[in-house]
Amino acid sequence: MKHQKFNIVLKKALFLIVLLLALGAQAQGEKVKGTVKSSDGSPLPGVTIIQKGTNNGTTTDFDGNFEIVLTSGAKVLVFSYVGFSKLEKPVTGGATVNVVMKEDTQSLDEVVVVGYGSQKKTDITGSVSSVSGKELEKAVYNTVDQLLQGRSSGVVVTSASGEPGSNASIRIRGNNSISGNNAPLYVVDGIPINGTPAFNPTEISNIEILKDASATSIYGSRGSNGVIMITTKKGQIGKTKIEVNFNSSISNITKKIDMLNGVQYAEYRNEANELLNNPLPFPNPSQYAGQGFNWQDEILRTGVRTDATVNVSGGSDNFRYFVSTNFLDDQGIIIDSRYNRGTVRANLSAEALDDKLKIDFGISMASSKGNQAVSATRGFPSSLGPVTNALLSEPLVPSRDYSGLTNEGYQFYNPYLEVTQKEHRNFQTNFLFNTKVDYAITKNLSYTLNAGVNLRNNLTEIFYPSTVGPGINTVGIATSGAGRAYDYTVSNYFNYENIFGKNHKVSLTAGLEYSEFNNYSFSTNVSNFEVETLGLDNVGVGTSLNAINSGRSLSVLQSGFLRGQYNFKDKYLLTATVRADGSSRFAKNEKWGYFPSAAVGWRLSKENFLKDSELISNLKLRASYGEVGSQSIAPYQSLARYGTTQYPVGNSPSLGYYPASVENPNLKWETTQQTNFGIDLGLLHNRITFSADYYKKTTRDLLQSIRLPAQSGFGAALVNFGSIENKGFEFNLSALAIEKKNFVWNSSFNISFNKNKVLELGGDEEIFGPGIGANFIGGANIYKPGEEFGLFWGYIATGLIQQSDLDEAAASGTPLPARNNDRQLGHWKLQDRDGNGVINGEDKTVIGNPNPDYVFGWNNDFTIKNFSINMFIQGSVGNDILNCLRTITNIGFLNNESYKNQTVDWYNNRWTPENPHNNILYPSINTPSPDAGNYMIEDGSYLRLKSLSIRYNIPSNNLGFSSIQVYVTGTNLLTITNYSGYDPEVSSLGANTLAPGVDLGVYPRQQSYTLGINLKF
Amino acid sequence: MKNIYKIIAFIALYLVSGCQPLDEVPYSFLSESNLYKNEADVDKALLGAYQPIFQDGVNDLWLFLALSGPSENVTARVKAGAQGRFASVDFRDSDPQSAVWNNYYRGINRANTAIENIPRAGLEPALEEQKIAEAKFLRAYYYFNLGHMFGGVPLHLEATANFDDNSIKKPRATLEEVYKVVEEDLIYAESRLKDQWDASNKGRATSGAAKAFLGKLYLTMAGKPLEMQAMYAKAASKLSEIYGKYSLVPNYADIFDINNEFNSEIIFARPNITNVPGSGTVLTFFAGAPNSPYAFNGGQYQIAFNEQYYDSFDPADTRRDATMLYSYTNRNGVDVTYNRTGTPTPGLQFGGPRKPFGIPYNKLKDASCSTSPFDHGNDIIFMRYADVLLMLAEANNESGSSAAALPYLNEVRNRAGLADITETNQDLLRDIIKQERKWELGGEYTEYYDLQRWGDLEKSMAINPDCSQLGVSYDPKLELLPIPLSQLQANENLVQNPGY
Repeated sequence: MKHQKFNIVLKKALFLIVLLLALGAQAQGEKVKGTVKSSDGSPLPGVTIIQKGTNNGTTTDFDGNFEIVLTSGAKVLVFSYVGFSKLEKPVTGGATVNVVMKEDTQSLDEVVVVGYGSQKKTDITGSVSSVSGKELEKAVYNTVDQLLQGRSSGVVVTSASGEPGSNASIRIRGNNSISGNNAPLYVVDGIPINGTPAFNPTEISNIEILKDASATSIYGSRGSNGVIMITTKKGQIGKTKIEVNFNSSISNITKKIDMLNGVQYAEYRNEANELLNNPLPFPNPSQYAGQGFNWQDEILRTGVRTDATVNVSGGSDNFRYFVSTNFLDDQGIIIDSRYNRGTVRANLSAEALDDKLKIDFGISMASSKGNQAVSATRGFPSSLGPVTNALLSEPLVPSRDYSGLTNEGYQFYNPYLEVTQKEHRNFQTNFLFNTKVDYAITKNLSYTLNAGVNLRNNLTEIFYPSTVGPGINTVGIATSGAGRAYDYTVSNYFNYENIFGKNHKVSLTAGLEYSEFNNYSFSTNVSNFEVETLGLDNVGVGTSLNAINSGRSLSVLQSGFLRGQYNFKDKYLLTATVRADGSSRFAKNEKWGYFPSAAVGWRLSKENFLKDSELISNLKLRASYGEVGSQSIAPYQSLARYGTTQYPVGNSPSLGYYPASVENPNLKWETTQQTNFGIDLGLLHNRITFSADYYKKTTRDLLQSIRLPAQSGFGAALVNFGSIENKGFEFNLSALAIEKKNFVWNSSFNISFNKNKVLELGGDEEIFGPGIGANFIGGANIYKPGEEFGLFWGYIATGLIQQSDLDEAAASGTPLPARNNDRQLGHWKLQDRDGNGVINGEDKTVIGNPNPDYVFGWNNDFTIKNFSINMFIQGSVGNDILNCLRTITNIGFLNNESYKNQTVDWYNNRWTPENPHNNILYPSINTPSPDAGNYMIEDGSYLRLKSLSIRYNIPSNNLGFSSIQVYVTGTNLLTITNYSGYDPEVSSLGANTLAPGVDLGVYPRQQSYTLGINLKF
Repeated sequence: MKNIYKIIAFIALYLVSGCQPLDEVPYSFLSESNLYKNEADVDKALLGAYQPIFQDGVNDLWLFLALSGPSENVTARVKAGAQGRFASVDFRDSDPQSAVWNNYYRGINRANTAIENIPRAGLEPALEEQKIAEAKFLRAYYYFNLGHMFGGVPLHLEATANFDDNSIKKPRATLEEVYKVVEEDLIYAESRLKDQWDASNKGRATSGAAKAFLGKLYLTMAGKPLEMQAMYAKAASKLSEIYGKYSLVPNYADIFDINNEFNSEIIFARPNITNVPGSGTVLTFFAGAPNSPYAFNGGQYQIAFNEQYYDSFDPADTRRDATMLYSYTNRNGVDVTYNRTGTPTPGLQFGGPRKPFGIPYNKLKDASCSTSPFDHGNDIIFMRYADVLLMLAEANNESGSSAAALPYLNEVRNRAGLADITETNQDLLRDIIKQERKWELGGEYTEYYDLQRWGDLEKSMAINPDCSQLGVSYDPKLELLPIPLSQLQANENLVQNPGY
């Protein structure tokens, strides 16, 4: 050992001497000139040329010419250019070096990032989609999850809200679980992370989406919902490049809903009261002419978004860097809603020991502050939020700032005060660090250590003053919740690759991984603010401390994984993977889970009969099968836990405790078995590529909170029971449709068909989704065996009650079947499905389906001289929406707590004795609080021009920039839909798997126009 | 070779960093292993078993409406939904009596858990028995109420240790079997519980409470539907054991005064504290008169008494105005009087108390509640001495000693400022005693039980204005509440009460 150390010292000393000599020698610099062309003879501009082993470099000019002065060191030039093979050329006498670079063997030789390694795309046997960062740069996104919408088949993205900074929910090949987690696993630069990455999406170099079991089983108990592998940008060899990107957007709502104005509202209320024999609340409606607030106008504004990014990148042969900072300020279209974020990333890569040792550092920090307009409680009537209340709130109040009772004596919920006086702040700070060490032990064997830390701090604070929502009853209420999460992962693995004989290519990956997840939380709930001016800045002013809680949890995951690949003659491919996961979250009898998969591939295009085909350049058949898990058990769920409570004996709050759960020693992961068949086809030198996949997934051992008979003393227990199925087809087609000198059109299209079905639910024959608006409308999504996921469940109104119905019923002697004895003329005539003469829960049935038949995305790039145009279209077809919001603004609401404003459309078309129609969308006045029914169902299909971007490259310039690009981007420019609400892309209950497709009002999605400039120098 | 060393070093590093056990270490909650160590632990487990008496949150209102709502005298301002249905005796299996069912069974499991685990604390035998007696009292209290409301309910006498069907899906027992358990538990408890508790433990069960409920059990078994006539004498004898152990407070209104809690008349009550979240009742808020100073934010005025009840009182009866808030000065200093014409008074929240919404409830008043509607401090009284006296009167009259009934009855009447009754005809006296209960215990969670026991529900519904307003007429099924639909769905072995 001593001897070796000495050697190292000696080497370092020698290196220093050489370096000094080199500095001395520099004056004698040798000038080399040349031209770089492609194989068809056309000059290549912008090729990077580096003198090997130095950071001395240059780039070719517009005609492919270059000139470089060599410093001492290797007299070798390295040429690199995107899409072309890297080329090394020794400088041997003469000062001219002309080079012809060969194109990379098409994109099929691309390397694709997979779990714990990478593979040539041609060798892949699983179902993996790639999205390149270049594609993403053309549109405007705030968060990583939003940008995946429509970009890849099999991926469905639902934004719950248009609020700046809000996250979307992502489903890969459908929902695998009813009560567990359905979100995919994100892996950033090899480190699996919890939740959605917080960093700026422009830091992404490319994304791989692992979809089938063959690709995901290497992530074992966390892989069943699919895996999104994100690779961030790295520095490229060459001179320091600085890139500045700045853009600014303005945005507006696309649609408003026409509500009753002052006079109309007064007339409506008078009529409603007259029918109930109450005094008229507005004796002289015409006096309100010109009065009354349109609350939508009061809370909306033009949004302004500013986004600035500065990247610095570059590097020498053995050290490269990419540093990026971004600042985003997004002021949404509702007053006071705003999202600010700052991010920094530094990716450093170094090589040593003749490139045997490679080290990558990834350092990322993202810090954001959001002021949220819509808080997520959504209870009726006090916390529906400003968007919903902007429609429902009475227009006739004394002032915009009014707080108090309405003219009819009910509590008024002022949406304007809610957006201006409610404070809802979210602070998030996210650190993600990883260090990856690769060491090539031999030519065939390498070792990798990848260690990552993810720290997340968040603080969410909400203050409702005594004038707003829930604060009205409590003289102001402040809730705050702080969380600190500290996760770390260490993975170690070996990769072995060798070719035996000539035709047997083998590669093996084997490794161990350890992860730990630590969570700390703290929350308070304070009310009764006699002084409200300090708000969230000093909640100690509130005199009632309603709750103070803290919590801590730790879970541990230990894993081993193994993957073997065998490739015979590049024709026959075989991949086998297994992972073993030991998780502290699993119950004591089920600590370890094993997740195997296998896949085969056959490259027909390498067979003799196709080898020389001019038409078919690639044809591969793939098949895979495997089992993957979902670890969505929260820590400690399998244990027998005691809870604490209080019982105030002796007039003091005395602590008591009680059994809160019974041990379930067999609680474990959900297992998804997936079979996948796929075909990849490339035509005309892969100018047209097509791929199709069929998959079938069955998830068993569903993690379910099953309802227990209350006689057990417990309401529910978490068990593994039941199964569901997803199956579907996915197609991708991309083509270089036109390639002319001044016009290039690239187009790619993807479409996904997924059908899911509940197979078995165990004890409960059916499960209902959560109540909507704090049970204002009961659970309207149903899960029952044999049916699709989350179907809408409710009454069927066959029409409206007409006088003739009542007459017939009177004649027959049996009263008209009615819900809660409501037989008012013009109210819904509900179908008595069980024929027992009463309308109750037993008469509900399936009324709609929130699952789309298919979703698609279509991306087009046009290059016309110096213009490039990107057009991205995306859509969803066949899904229904439960439009609760329309219904409660279209019934002339009879409710005990509050009479709400209604739409003009309803008022003009409502059932009246003079206009006795049978249209269930326009019942007569004073319809009682509705339960879910077919009158709420609407078709939610849409096609949307999500993004249209025009970029102009300013040709040559004398300003010292290597490139100037200006661009205009329109987002959500056009939506074709029959949906009557604000937006068909809606999910009021957020990412809640159990209540998809419900519209009770959400922050509307905005249409925006962006103007930006991109400078490189 | 050096590479091999490196690999070994890395693996060693991994093993050092990675070899955590996979057993979970809970940080933020308790588990059975670290509880039941001593008397203090046992007391905490018992308090946990008391807690379900406390109907969390809005469920306070449902308990009230299920037990007092069916009375012909009690009404709900909101006629739609479950409130109106309870007030008009239109029971549905989907209505919130399920909250009471769920809570009481939660209490039963906690009591069972305590009964099984108390011996682990190694207390002195007498003390151990006293603690077990307290748990058994609670179990009896829950089963008595469940049997009363729903008839024969499933009997769970062991803590739930697993989710096997035979441990969590028991079928219904008969009402007799349920009452037998209640009787045995109360007999165990009456001789072992303390006679009284020190100030810091007021509210816990006493021997007197066990006897009072045992007496009530016997009276209930004697009445409908079991009609075990011999039980009247047993009731009279059991209740007489606590005669004189408690006393009526001189002024009826003082029973409910928030500053006079645990007074000499209280036998069993759920204690509450003002402005302590999790230790208060929301009922005061729901019962409170509109914009009155007696409840948080003025009161919701959800429950009230109707005019016929008000008018049934002798004007000299001090209970009338203590029970109903006919007029008051509201929070804005405006004098408000109940409005018999039914016209809303302009400028008043809800137009002030008026026909047909009823005369506001006046037994719960907490002027200092300021934190939340859920934080009122009024104790909820489930057994008081006047009830015992009236049960003694009833038991004696029914067992043929009508004359012996009179002193108990008159003790209650005299306190209210009314003259003695001298009637000794059993039938006539029965009606007098019934009416006396209605005056004395209006809105005190007892009316539905009384109507059941007397077989008077049909008669009551015939004169219940809510029934006529909402078009509900008597049906024998209404003698019991329906088993909650959610429970029928969760346990296929449960059979619904007939008629639902």
